[in-house]
Amino acid sequence: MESRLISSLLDSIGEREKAAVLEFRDSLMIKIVDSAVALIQRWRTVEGRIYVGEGGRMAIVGFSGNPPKDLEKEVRSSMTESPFFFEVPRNEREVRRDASDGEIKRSIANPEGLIGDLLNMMVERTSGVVTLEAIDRQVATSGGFLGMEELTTFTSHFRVFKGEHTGHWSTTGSQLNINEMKAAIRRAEEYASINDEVEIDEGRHRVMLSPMVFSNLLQLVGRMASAMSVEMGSSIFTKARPGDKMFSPLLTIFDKPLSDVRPVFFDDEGVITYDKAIVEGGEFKTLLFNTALAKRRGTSSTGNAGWMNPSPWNLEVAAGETSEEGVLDGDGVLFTNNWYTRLQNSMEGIFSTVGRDAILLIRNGKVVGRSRGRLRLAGRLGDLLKNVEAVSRTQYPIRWWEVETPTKAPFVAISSFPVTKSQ
Amino acid sequence: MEDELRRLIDSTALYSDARYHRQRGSRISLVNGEAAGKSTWSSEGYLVRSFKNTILTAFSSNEPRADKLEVRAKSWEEGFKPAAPVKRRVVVPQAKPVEDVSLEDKIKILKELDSLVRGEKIKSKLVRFNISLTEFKEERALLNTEGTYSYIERPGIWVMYSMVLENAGETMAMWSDELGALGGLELLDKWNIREELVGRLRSLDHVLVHGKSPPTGRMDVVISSLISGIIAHESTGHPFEADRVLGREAAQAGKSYLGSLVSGKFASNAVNVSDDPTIPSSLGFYLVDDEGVEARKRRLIVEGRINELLHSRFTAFKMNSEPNGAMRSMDYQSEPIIRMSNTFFEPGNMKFDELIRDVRSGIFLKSYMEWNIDDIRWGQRYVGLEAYEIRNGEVGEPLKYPVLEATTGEIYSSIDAVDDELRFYAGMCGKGEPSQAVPVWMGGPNMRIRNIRVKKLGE
Repeated sequence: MESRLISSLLDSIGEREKAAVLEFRDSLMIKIVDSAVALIQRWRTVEGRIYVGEGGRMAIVGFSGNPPKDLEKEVRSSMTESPFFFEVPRNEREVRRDASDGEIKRSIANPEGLIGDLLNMMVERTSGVVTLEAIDRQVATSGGFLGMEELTTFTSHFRVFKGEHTGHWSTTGSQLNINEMKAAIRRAEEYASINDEVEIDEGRHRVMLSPMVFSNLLQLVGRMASAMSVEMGSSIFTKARPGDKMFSPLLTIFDKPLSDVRPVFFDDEGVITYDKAIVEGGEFKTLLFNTALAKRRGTSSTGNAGWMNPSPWNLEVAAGETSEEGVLDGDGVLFTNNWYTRLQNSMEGIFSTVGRDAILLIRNGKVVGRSRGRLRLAGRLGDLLKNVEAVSRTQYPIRWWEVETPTKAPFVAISSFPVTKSQ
Repeated sequence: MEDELRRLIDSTALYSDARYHRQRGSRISLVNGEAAGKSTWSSEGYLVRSFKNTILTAFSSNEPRADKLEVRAKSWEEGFKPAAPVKRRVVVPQAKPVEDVSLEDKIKILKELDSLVRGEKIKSKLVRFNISLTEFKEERALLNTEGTYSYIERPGIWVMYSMVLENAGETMAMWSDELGALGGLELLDKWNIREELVGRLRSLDHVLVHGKSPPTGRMDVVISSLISGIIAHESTGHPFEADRVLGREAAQAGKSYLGSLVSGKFASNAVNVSDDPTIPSSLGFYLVDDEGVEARKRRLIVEGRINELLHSRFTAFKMNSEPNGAMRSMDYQSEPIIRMSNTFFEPGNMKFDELIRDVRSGIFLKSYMEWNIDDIRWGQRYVGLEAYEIRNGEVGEPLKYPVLEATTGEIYSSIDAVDDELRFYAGMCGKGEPSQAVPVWMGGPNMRIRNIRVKKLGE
């Protein structure tokens, strides 16, 4: 890995506090529709961003492609007083990590083998996407830090159609894993194959959430755990203090930058990342901080910069002690997939989300049938997390259209939650 | 640029196009009264698309270069419809160019707005008020194997804000991205932004402090142009995208109810919905789409009947129709896909008072907190933020928080009257994979829906 470009970018700016991030990215996407290739897209891109600060004034300049021609002029014209100005942490060291997978890089360069494998795996009517990325990420700061990491990811999701009935599943990781993709297609097919239709009434139900659904809702938790969300008043943690018992004691939620799903070794300020619980045993532990927001709250960075907006790297819910069958035991409604999660009041966590694909009525642990119409979960996020009464031992790595931050999630059972429908 | 793009297209392909796409922008934000700083961004690169051996490929790069990828596999695409070559250059003007106002003066404008809002006497407490000014400029140049060359330059601004109010331990949160258009800083005057912000704060305060529980059950509901707009976008625009109807987005945003309708007429005669990219200064404005087809107004629903879909060359081929200029892309990294531009219910001849006059007991739904809709665009839900009862033909007391949760068929067949006031609102529309967010307008008149089920939040 070459560090000349990032070093010269940093050198071209006269101000005292500065940090630069560069990401060189090679990517491939295979888009499948009805078990045939709809598009093959490749990317070769450079993306970067630069933080500059001095004397309480700061500017952030981002670019995709070539850096602005007169970077210093661009920076100078953007400098303003800001409470989010920060002094770049002193961290004089060089970090080089290679967590990349050669198979992913080879498939990006020569995708025909992977395309063939995918088409062979497809059941009759499958749509979905497989995306491979190889990222050379570099961070350099005026605090003396130079970090270079090589990362790879594969992200896949498949929706299987059996007539109008569908099932949908995803899998992701940092090492290409065809078997996991096959398993995802099998799971989607299993849900699509449930034929009997039933009416499920509106009202409170015991609900079970698949890892697809729980991962999606955990995106809200991850976003709200950002200290900037608290500043903006868009978080259920706005009034929370570490130690507050907020959720079910069965629930532990981590930010795990070192997870093998997508490891990231340092943040945008050159702070070394580490795994941490946001919620442990139902107790709120910490927000996610960068240096500026940590200083405003008299604490330390959690290695989650983003200069303005800290964010989680990978989310993970600790495995529970119940088997999958145990979570799905008894009566309830199993949501296997969802989308369009929207908050009506982000400070209070009032939301609704629309179930899609298979929404299954469970009686005595057995699937009775799938809901004839689509149903919503509509209520308070805090209540949902408070009412977690079982967590599966198994966890699934999920990343797809509705789950941006890679998330490892189990099946969970919620003792009671409002369910609504449109007709 | 034209020559550079000519070198990139694959002349051996059945169809190929090359696009140069540059985006520049900046955002200045006040977070709860404090200037948070200025962020700027730029994005510049090329996308080359080829249809060869019946496989569609795309390659994005910051440099003007082509990909040598050739693949043979079972393809979903079958062919494309040709279009007449076009040469067009469009530059959207700014009366008050954003570059002519200094950063300090722009922060001053935001601080004045912040002071104005905070100085307003209200009964509840304003816990958070965040506001930002975004400036952007987009340049796109496209050349294809049919000889089309088009160039467009689209500068614009966007004001977004959020408020959290608190009264007796109860909070109310809102977020708005409704003020956005092409042009310069003259738009701030055009939008009457001071009155807009103060009016919004006052009405939210009124609802939070005085709002009572809404009636539930079946009743007449009058919806504002803001809610007409989101309904037009979500339950006409998206399901009328031909790629969704055909299943190309099935694993992402899903399919369309059009696939299962038994009849072409599913709405009342009062329902007319259009999508028009030719509206000057609109966020969805363009005259040639991203695969070189001339843009025009599309009348999607006419008098309650399906009239036409939004098409690309490829969907038009599959459905034996004609492309109608609906392909757009977010940036150089994004393949062009079928997108809405400015989607709206067409206005009628009535006045707002006439809509209300013969409602004996109902609800006026003026703004919404959030919305969502299912993946075939049939079951939709809007939670009222600002809402009022209608009693004996007059708008009355504030209500919190009625929920309109019904099917597209039920809503569209129950619209019996629309007024003559067409208003547009800005928004960002998401679609595609990787997800592409493109700016649009959505709008309509105020509309009356007869005898529709109303619930309340939490029910």
